[in-house]
Amino acid sequence: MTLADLFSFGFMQRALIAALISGLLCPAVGAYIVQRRLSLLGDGLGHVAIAGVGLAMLTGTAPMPVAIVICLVGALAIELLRQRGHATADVGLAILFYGGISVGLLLAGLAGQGAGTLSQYLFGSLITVTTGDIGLIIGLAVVVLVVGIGLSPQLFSVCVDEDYARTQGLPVRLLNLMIVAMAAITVTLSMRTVGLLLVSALMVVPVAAAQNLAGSFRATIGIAMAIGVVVGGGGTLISAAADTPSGPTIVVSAIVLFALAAGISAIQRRRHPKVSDVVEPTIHHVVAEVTDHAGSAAPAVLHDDHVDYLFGGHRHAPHGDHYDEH
Amino acid sequence: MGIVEATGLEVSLDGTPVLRGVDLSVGERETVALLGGNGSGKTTTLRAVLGLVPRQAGQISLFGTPLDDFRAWARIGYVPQHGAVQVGNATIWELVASGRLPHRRLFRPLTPTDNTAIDDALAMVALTDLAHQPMAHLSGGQRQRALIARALATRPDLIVLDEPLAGLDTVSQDELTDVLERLKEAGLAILVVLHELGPFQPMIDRGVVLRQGVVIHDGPLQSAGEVTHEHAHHHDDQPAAHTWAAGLAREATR
Ligand SMILES: Nc1ncnc2c1ncn2[C@@H]1O[C@H](COP(=O)(O)OP(=O)(O)O)[C@@H](O)[C@H]1O
Ligand SMILES: [Mg+2]
Repeated sequence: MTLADLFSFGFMQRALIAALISGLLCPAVGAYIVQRRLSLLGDGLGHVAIAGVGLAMLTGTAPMPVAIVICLVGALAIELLRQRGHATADVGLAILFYGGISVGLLLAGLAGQGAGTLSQYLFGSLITVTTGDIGLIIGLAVVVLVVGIGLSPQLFSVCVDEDYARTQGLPVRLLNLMIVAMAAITVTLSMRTVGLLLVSALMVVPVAAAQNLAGSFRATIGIAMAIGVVVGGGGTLISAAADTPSGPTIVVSAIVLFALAAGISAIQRRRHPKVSDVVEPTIHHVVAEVTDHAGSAAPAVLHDDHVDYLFGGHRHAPHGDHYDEH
Repeated sequence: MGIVEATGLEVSLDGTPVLRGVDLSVGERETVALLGGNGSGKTTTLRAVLGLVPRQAGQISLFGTPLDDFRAWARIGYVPQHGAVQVGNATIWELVASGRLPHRRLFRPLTPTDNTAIDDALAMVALTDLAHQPMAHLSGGQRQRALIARALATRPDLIVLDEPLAGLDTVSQDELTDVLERLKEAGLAILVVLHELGPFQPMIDRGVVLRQGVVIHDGPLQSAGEVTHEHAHHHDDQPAAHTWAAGLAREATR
C-alpha cells in the first residue's frame, strides 16, 4: 500500500490535519513561552492534561474536551499563584509535573485501563484522531492563532519586560493569563499527534531552531511555525510509512532541523562576526567628592556656600560592580 | 502642578521596610537626580512612583492625578536598568516599536504616526542605522540607548531612568549624556537614578539623596561659582563603590 492509499483513509487525513495544526500552533505559542523563559511550562501543562485524560477514562467521556478543561484550570491556577507570589514558579511546576501524571495514571487505573491505553495520549497515536476532535482542534486553533498573532505586540511587550509593560498601562495580569491559557489549549490539542509528554518539544525546539536563523522576533515566530508545519506533516508521513509512533517521529524530525539550523548559524557566525563594538570596559571617570570644612560631610553641607568638589581621581575599574540585582 | 508628587512614601519588600517616608517631586522641565549608595532605595522609589511595587503609606500623583486613577501612561517613558531586560533576538526596531503600545488599539497594525514616532525615537538616540540588528548583538551603550528609544517612542513628557550609566564605558556615557541633554532641551522632565553623577552633573537641576530609605538631601547639588579645589586629594586606591553619592551616604552615617 502506498502512502497515497494510506491517506485515502479518513483517519489518516484527520491525523495529518491534526499534526499540521499542532505544527503551526505549538511554535506560535512556544515563541512567547521561550521569550518568557518558561520553556518547561508546556511540559508541566502536558502532565496536567494527563490527569484530564484519566478523568475522561473514568467517566467514559471524550478525552480531549475534559483534558482541555482540566489543563486550563491547572494553567490558570498556577499563573494566579505565580502572580500572587504564593509559590515560586519552580515548586509550582514540580507539583504540576508529578501531580498531573500521578493522578492521570491513578484514574486510568481506577477505570480499569492501564498505562498502555494512556500511552497513546502520552506519545501520540495517529489512528485515534476522531471527527469530533478535528472540529475542536480547528475551532480552538483559530482562536489561539487570532489571539496569539493579533495581540502579538502586547504579548511581546509582556514577555520582554513585564514591569515596562505595566508602565504602558497594559493589562499585564490578563495578558499573562492569556499566554498560559493559550499554552494549555495548544498542549491539549496536540495530545493525539505529538502526545502530552512530547508536546513541549514541539513548542520549544522549532523556536530554538528559528532563533538560529532569524534576525528578529517576528521572523522567529514565522520560521518556527514553518518548521513546525514541516515536521508535523513530514513526521506524520514518516510515521505512517515506517509505522513508528507519531510523537517521537515528529519530535526527532524537529531536533534534526534544529541541528541543521544550529550548523548553518555557526557557519554564518564564522563568516560574519557580531557587529557590536567590543570596547574594553575600562572607565576613566570623574569622582566628585563632597566634604565640608571640618572634613565631615553632613547633608547640610550641600546647602553650605563652601562646598568643595574634588575632580580628578581617575580610576580604572571594570564596571560590572555597579549592577544591582532585582 | 508637579509632574511627580510623592509624599510620605513607605514601602516594605518581603516585610523589610525599604522606604521610610520618602518625599519626591519633579516639576515641569525639571531634571532631578535620585542619588544614594547601593541599597539605599533608589530603584524602589522609582518603582513605587510608577506603581510597580505597592506602598504601605504615602501619596503619589502623576501629572496631577492620583496614581491609582492615573491612565495617561503614554506621557511617561520608563527606562529600567538595562541588565534586567531579556530581549532574545528581537531587533532594536521591534523593541522600540513596543514603546508605542500606549497609543495602539488592539488587533490593529502600526499607523503612519506610530512609524514616524518610532523613527524619531531611533534618530534621537542615533540608532537608525542599527535598527534591524538583534538586541543580543549590541554593546551595553547601544542597549541602553535602545531602551531609551523605546521610552521615547510614546513621545513622553516625563522620562524615568534607572542607573543609565551603569556598566558603560566613557564613550558610551558621553553619548548618553548628549542624548539626555537633547531631551532636556526638548522640554522633557527627567527623573534619573544615579549611583554617581558622572557626566550628567551639569544638567541636573536638583538632587535627592537617599540613605537607608530616607531622604537626607533635596536641593541643588552645588552652588554656582563656589566650587573650589582646596581639599583636592586623589582616590586612586578607593573601591569602585566610592562615588559621590556613596561617599556622601557613608559620611552621613557617622
Ligand atoms: N524583593 C525584595 N525583597 C526584599 N528586599 C529587597 C527587595 N528588593 C530590594 N530589596 C532591598 O531594598 C533595599 C533597597 O533596594 P533598591 O531600591 O534596589 O536600592 P538601590 O536601587 O538604591 O540600590 C535594599 O536593601 C535591598 O536589599
Ligand atoms: Mg537600583
